[in-house]
Formats: sequence, C-alpha cells, structure tokens
Amino acid sequence: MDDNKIIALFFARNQDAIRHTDAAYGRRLFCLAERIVQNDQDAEESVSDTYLQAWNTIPPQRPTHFYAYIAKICRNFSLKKLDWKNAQKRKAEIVTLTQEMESCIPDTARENELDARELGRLLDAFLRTQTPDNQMVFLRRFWYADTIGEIAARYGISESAVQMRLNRTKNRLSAYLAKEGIQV
Amino acid sequence: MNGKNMLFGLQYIGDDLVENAEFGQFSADTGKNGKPRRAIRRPLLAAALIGAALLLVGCAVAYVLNLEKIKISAGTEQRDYSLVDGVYVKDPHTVNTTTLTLAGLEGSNAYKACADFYVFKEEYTANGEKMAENGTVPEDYWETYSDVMDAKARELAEKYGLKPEGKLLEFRTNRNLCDALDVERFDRSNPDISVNINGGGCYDTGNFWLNMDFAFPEDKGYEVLRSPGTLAWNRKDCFSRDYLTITDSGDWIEKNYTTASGSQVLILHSPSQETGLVLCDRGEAMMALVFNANIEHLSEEDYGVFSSEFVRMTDRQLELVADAIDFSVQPRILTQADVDAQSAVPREATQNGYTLTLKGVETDGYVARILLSLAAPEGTAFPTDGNLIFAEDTLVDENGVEAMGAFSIEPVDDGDGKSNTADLLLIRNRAMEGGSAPFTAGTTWNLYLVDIVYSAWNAESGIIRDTLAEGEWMIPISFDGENGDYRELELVQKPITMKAAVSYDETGKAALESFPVTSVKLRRNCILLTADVGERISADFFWFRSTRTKAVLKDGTEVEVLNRAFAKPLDLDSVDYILFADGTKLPVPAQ
Repeated sequence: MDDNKIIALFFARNQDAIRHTDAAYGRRLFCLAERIVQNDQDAEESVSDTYLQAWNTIPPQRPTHFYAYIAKICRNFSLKKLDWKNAQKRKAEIVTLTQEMESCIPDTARENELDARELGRLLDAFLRTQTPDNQMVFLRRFWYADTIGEIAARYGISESAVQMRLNRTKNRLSAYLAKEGIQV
Repeated sequence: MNGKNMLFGLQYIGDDLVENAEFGQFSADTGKNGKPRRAIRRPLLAAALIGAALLLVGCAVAYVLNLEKIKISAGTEQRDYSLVDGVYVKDPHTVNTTTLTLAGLEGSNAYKACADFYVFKEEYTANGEKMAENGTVPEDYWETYSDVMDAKARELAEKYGLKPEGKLLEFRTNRNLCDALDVERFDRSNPDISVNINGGGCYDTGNFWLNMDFAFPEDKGYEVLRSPGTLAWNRKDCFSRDYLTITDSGDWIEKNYTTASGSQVLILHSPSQETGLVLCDRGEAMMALVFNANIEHLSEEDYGVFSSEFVRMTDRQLELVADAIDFSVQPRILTQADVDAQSAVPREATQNGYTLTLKGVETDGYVARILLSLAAPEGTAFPTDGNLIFAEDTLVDENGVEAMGAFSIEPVDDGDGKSNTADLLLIRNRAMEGGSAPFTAGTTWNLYLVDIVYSAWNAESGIIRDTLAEGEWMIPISFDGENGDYRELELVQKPITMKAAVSYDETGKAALESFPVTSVKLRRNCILLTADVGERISADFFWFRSTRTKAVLKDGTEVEVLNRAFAKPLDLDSVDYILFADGTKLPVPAQ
C-alpha cells in the first residue's frame, strides 16, 4: 500500500494504518533501530513505540515524507533508549559514532549549548552543500548508523573510499560549523 | 556541545535528505557495478544476556550458585534521567552496577577469559574517551575498534586454552538452522504459551543463540501478552564475550524452579527492570534465556520528555516461559559442511500444505507488480485483521543482484470468497530512484520468498509476527512484450518552468522554487521528470504538503502519484492530462 493510502487510514483512525506501515516499512525501521540499540528486543520496542507515536500524531500531522517521518521517530526512540535504559551496555558502534561526530565540533564551540533544532538546521544547510553521494555516505553513517563495511557494500565502493569520503566531509563540516554556525 | 548533541541534531535535517539516503542510489560511475546493494545486516550478537545462578542438571547432586559465581565486575554508571511519577526527568545521578558473564563459572577458564575481555574493552573505551577530551585520539582509534576487540578475543582464547569464537555460520533460513542444530523451531502445543524461533545464529565452535517470541493467550487477564527473548548456548570450552551489566536495583528476585520437562533452572527478575532471566547449567555449556519479564511502554509527550508505564508478567507466566524451553536439548556442533549441505531451494509450489503461485506480473520497466496467489489447506482461514507478509522477500536478477527500490505488499481481493485463499500484490518501485529501467523486456528475475507470516500491531502487544507456514519459494519471473508495456510518452516538447518544493519549515509548509523542466515522460506505472535544479539536492515536483501530482483520466478519474509511481497502473490511452502539484497541467498527446 502506498503512503497516500496509509496516511488516509491514519486520518480515518483505522488501525490498518499501522499494519500497512509495518508491511511497507517495518523491516527498514527494525534495521535502523537494531543498528542503534544492537539487540532485537529493544529494536522491536523502538519500532512498536514508533507506530504508537505515529498513531498519536497523525492526524494532526500529515507528513509529506512519510518514511522520513516515521524513521525519525524510530531513530529518536532508539537513541533515547540508549540514554537511560541501555546506556550501561556501552554500544561500541554508538560510542564510535559519538566520537566521530565529536571530532567535527570546532574547539571554539565545545562550550556552546545549542538547541538541537538549531543544530539540525545548521547540519541540514551544510549537507545541502555536499554532493549527493557524500550526503548519502554521511547520513548512512551518522543517521542510519551503518558501519563502514555496510556503506561500502551498499554503494559498491571500497571501505577506504567510504572512510575517505567521511573524513573529508567531517573536515568540511567542522570548518563549516566554525565559520557559519556556532562560533557565537 | 558534544558528539551526542550532534547525533541528536541530525534528527532535524530535512526529510528529503533522510529519504534520499535510504532510497537513493550512488552515481553510476562510482560503484563497482553501478547498482546499489541492500545494506548487509550485521549478525546479531547474543550479548544482551545474563546469568546469575547454576544448577547441574543430569548429576545426582545439584547445587545452587549465587550471583557472585558469575560476577566479573562491579562499578557505577552515570544516568541522565530518573523516573518520577511515571515521567522521565533530567536528573544526572550515579547508580551501582554489576557485570555478569555468561561464559562460565568463577574459576573456569571461560570465566577468566571473559572477565579479561571485559576489562580490556572498558579500558579501551575509557582511554578513547579520555583522549577525545584531550583532542589526542588517533584517527583510526574507533575505526579499528572491532578489529582490536576481535584480536583481543583471539588472544584470550589462546591464553586460556579455549576454542576461539570461531566462524559465524550463515544458514539460509531459520528452519535450516534449527534443523541443523536439532532443535524445534516452534512449540505451540501448550495452550498457555507458545514459542516461535524467528532468528539466530551459530559459530562453528559450538556456541549459538536463538531469538524467539513468547505469546500468551488473551483471555487469561495477563498484562504481558507477548515477549521477545534470546536463548544463548555457550560452551565452556569456547571463548565467549557474552556479558551483561545490570543495575543493582536491590529488588532482584531469585527463584529455583523445576520446569515441566524436569530441568532445574533459576528464574531471575526484578519488578523495576524489564529483563527477566532463566538460567540452566548443562555441564558442558551454560544456557541462558533473557526475555522481557516486564515491559515498559514509553510514549514521548514532547521532545525529550517521555512517560513510562510498566506492565509485568505474573509468577505463573515466568514459569511458563521456563517451561517453554527444553533445557535438556542436545544441540549438534555445526560446521561449514552443514551449511553447504543445505538442500537447494524447493521448487514445489506447495510446501507444508500452503500453495504459492504466480498469478500475474506486469511492468513498465521501472515498476514491477507481481500478483501472487496463496492457498492454505482446506479448513484453514487466513487472518483478516492483519497483513500477510513474508519473512524474507527479495527480487534478484540472473546475477543475484537485488532489485532496489521501494517494496510493498498489498492484499488484493481474489474474488472467490474463500477464507483459505488470498491474493497478494508485491510492488517493486524503482521509479523514485531514477536511473535506468531494471525490468526491461528480456530480463529474467527470481522472486525468493521465505515463510508466510501474519503481521499485525496493537498498542497492548506491539508488533505481532506469527509464522503461518514455513517454506521457501523461488519463483522465476520473465519480462517480455506480453507482460510489459514499455511505452513512454513525452509530455514536454520544449523546456517549461515548474515549481518544486525545496524544503519545509517546522510547520510543514513547503518552500517553493521555480526550475526549468526539460522532460516529463509518462509510463504506465510511473512518471519521470528531468529538470535543471542547479545546486539543489532536493526538488520535489510531485508532492507539496497539501497538493499532489495526479493523472486525470478522460472519464474524470484521478490517480495520484507517490514516489513518482501511480497508485494504480494507467491505461496510457485513457489518460487526459497530468496535473502537477504546482498547478502545471500537461496534456497527454493522442496515441
């Protein structure tokens, strides 16, 4: 079932909306959550929580990009679970991602407290200055939490090529943030 | 600001960027074969497991272990939130923790190796964090993390005279894995609980894990109706890095229990924690089942503000979970030879009583619509309150490369009125990704399907997935002149200007910009647009927040476009015009 129909079901308060969402995107959401929380139980919970959140927010929301809408909810739940429920498990991949992102922050900005939305706007603006390929590689790594190997396999390029793209994009991001964004 | 802030900040980038990273494809000249491949799923690790006590089964003398026998570390951890009146509030505080190994008992080599591994891993992580604070972390410190840990695991196995973790064996299906291990995949004989194995993996040195779902009947008044679990089998002559750090909540309950099949186990649970555990020592191996004894329902009330509600298993349910596992199982140690010995994918349409046949297929080159017919044994009724899906469904070409793009499964009325038959329409949409048409005339594909699964969702149980029928189906599909309509109608004879949504504000309002459009090609299932959008990464001509592109047929019927594909196939001869989201109306030339 296409997104239009699914959203129509949400608006009709028909629980088939959830089932069709699951059929269309359940596997993608599960993979996204599992990459972050790294165990099936928490991943399933994240996906399940996502459906409930979608049910509670559509309507009034009518997402233009439905997959992105639910994927963002799922990612948020997964990251939140790490915050207080599963932080003790010390997920290596998330530690890695956090450290990698840390390296993008210019020294002058480390003490700044920036609203996540404002930071998101800066990141959005930066990404739109990048090539589509570099955008995708960057987001596969830091949005979808793919490993270097997974990204390489996905796009049919070598791991070193992925790493090189990521390093260059991170360097550009650091420079961008220092120049444009958070040096206030 | 720190790295975590950055990860959370990414939450607010544009939806188009998020979708492009999921569905988009690389520039054709950068990939090895020009075709993206599906992301590889990491093998699941049976890490979220815990052990706390041991009883020797099969020996005349059974002795109870306490948690101290598998404890490898105690410490503290910083937590950012506390649960206050059902809501998580920011409250940085410290909790005491205990780390337990599942590898073996205190004094054993498996125990020592796991304890050493834990110390190494913690130190490595702490050092990395410290260096990051000082700005001195080596560039490849985190990139090589997995390699460093794997090397340490091998070193410790050798040091303690243990088999290394070994090679992960990849069986084609869960059924094949269970058959090779000689364990049952399903147990639905107990009216009070059923268990389905829905995943797992094993190493060629003997350790394995199985993912499973437990389900309870709805008429017993239970709060918890479903619970996922993972059963780990760790041989004591093998290295295992399985450990778990638990919060010392002070309310863990230990209960010795003899299962219905006679195994002595220890059940561990805590009313304030989600995790429940059933442990059994088998002499040659430790068996540990971790599952959700309690389930915490979280709902986000606002960004970063979560409310929490706990539902809990009863004592009887905990016993039923233990009863559902055969702790006297004698699994085989598998090798690559067992993987290689898997029988070929069956070619029969009917497997385990369920018949799956290809009813029809059509394409316009970019969108493949595959109609399947399902028939269950007489007297069986397909559920009507959920979806019928497959545990795995892939469409691969002759070289084994999977067709990328949006994939959906829709129920279709088969018109026969029977409850044991159903039609399913599988749609693979490549249109939204652009590029070349994959389903051209003369190409042959294989649709590979595994297990017929009932899928549903409700607020109480969350996701429900029950395997209705096991099986593997490989259905060849050929596209030719008979089932393909490859006509392409150009709707733009000279460049025109159209508006596209380039971004959205927080209220969802689209920002529009005008771009020159040089081509709009109409196909039976999709529409392909070429425009010069300059430096813009995203420019959506098809769908604004409130208006969408649609095909208007000569009889006035409207067919909407989603992801550049039509909601249903068009008879190109019957299309009057295309009405774009910005109001541009493009007539379809007469054929």
